[in-house]
Amino acid sequence: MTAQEIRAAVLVYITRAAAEPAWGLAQREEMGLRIHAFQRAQIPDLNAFCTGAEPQGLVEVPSVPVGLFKEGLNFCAGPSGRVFRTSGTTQGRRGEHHMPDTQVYELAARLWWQACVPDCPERVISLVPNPAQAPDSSLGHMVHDFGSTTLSYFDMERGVDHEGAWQALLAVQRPVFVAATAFSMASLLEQGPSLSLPSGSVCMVTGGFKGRKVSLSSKDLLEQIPERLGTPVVEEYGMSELSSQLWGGPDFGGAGRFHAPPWMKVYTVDPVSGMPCEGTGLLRFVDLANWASCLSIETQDLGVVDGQWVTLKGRLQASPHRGCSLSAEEAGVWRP
Amino acid sequence: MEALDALRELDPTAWDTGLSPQGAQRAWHESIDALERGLTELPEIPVTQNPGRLWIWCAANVFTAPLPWLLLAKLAKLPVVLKAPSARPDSVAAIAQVFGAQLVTSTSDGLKRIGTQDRVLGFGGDAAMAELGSALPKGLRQSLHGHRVSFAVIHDPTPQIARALALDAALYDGQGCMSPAAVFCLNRSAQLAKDIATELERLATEMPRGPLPPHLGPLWRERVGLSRILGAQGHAPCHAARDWAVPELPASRAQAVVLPRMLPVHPIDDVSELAPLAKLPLSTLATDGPSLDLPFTRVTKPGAMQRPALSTVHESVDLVRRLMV
Repeated sequence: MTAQEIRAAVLVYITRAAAEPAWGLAQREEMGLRIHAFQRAQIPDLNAFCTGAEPQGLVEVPSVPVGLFKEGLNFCAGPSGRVFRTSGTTQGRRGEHHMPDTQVYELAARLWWQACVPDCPERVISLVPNPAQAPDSSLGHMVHDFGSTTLSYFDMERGVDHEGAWQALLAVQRPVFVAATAFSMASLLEQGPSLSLPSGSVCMVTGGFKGRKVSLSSKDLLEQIPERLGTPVVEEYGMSELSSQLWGGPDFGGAGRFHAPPWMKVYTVDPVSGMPCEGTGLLRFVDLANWASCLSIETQDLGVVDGQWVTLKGRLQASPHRGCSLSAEEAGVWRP
Repeated sequence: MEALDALRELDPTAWDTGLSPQGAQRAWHESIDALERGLTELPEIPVTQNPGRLWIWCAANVFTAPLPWLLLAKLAKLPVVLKAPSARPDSVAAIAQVFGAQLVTSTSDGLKRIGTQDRVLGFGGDAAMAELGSALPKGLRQSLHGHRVSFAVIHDPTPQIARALALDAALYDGQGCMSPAAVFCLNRSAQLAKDIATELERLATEMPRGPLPPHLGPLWRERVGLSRILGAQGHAPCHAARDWAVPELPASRAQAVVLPRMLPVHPIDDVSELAPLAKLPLSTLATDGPSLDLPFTRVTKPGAMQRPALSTVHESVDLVRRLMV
């Protein structure tokens, strides 16, 4: 199949799967294996990564560790038209997810958002990176794509404009969608008053605190947002290496529990062997919206999977046993 | 010495060392043999005239690490307190008993009991050492040793050198600052990688790897995957099995991370390419050639990286002079 043909097939599949999840689940294996065959044929670096027999199911598709996106490899079928990068870490290197265009990304993001958070306002108050300033932020791109008008109160250099954000929140007359990272929202709530946003407003938080000091825990944050802003809160789980997102929050069964779209298969593996396991394990996402890069992604997050539901159990932590050896995080700052 | 005989009687397989039983036995007896050999060449250790005790703050990785310092303290007739790592206290407890040393397992308890006449020798991660350093009383004699990383630089590879490097990678399963993170090779790197792989495969049976810590699983798959991809791009193939790997990667892909029984080989044309290593906290250089103008604190032959000779010096610090007299 050509890239145009597979993209068209994926667009049709995702559109119908969003409307008929049972159909989407039933078709997922076959569609996913077609995408995988296309990717192996079109992406030499991915083909070299894949060894062993042809997969008979999606859990057999070789899963690319997220760390490989930081190695400057070419995981894009055809010319790269857009790149989303991971946020900077202490290692300095940022992961890069190249894709020919964002058409499938946007469709997948929007349809699943609408399914999970129906009737969300299109007026956005954004505390996430602004696409004009950070075009490589997938989070910024997604939030901007959800809204018809977006007021941005986040600067890549200075962080959250607390004063501006509070002024905007206090002036709101109609329902709004407030989008923030957990860190931005926690820092915002540390500074301002309590208010009650118009009925129909929704607040989204995503990500953790990445070791930065805030006075609130993630759980406290989710409890405080309705109290302080008078809105329901939803959690987003996503990453630059994926094209689909999972949504969760108090109305989805509690903090850290997320719902995956029907075009995404999630399963867990034993962190050491990489073999599928029951119970808590390392999360792998087979995201059919990643049609032109890597179908299956191995994260460094632990979780439990129950069908399309994922409960996060935190990050795979470095063992404290290795004493005076350098850890990956510490050593990664060095490159000859 | 009686202490060495008593150490030989202990069973390291009874402790959580992170190693396989065969790996623990080999590391244990190699370490005691090195102490025995070193005793005959050691300068006279003066008996301490000062009151106070030597505290050895042990790391959880190389379970034999406190042995040389206990032996030297015994020669200096300096009482010792061993602070065992909470994650793996068993080996330290058994060793303390042999040397008649006191044992402390709680950090807060240890910090409370340190006296102003005491001295502290610490091993561990940078964060742990920084924390310990800031918690110790001001003016206390101390020598704290954090992260270090080691490399091999090979000019003229032979099967013997490959065997020696494989042993360096296999002993302690890459734990500790003296284990090789990578081999830089000036000639015939592909053959060296193949020969190291052959030996690691043999060692996997004779001295199996211990369990891989869970957080290293994804990193292992990442490095092997990278090697496969670069191999398809025209670089050398990756030699790998479940419990060992020898990826041959361009030097630009070198990492200062040690994965258990994974020994990357990086071809280089000239040692000047290694200048960026100076940015790292370096420990041991194993080489078959001349030493390098880089701040390694120890230079040795391949095969001796993880088997340091008994010495009063660690990381360029004479610990007997600093802490024991």
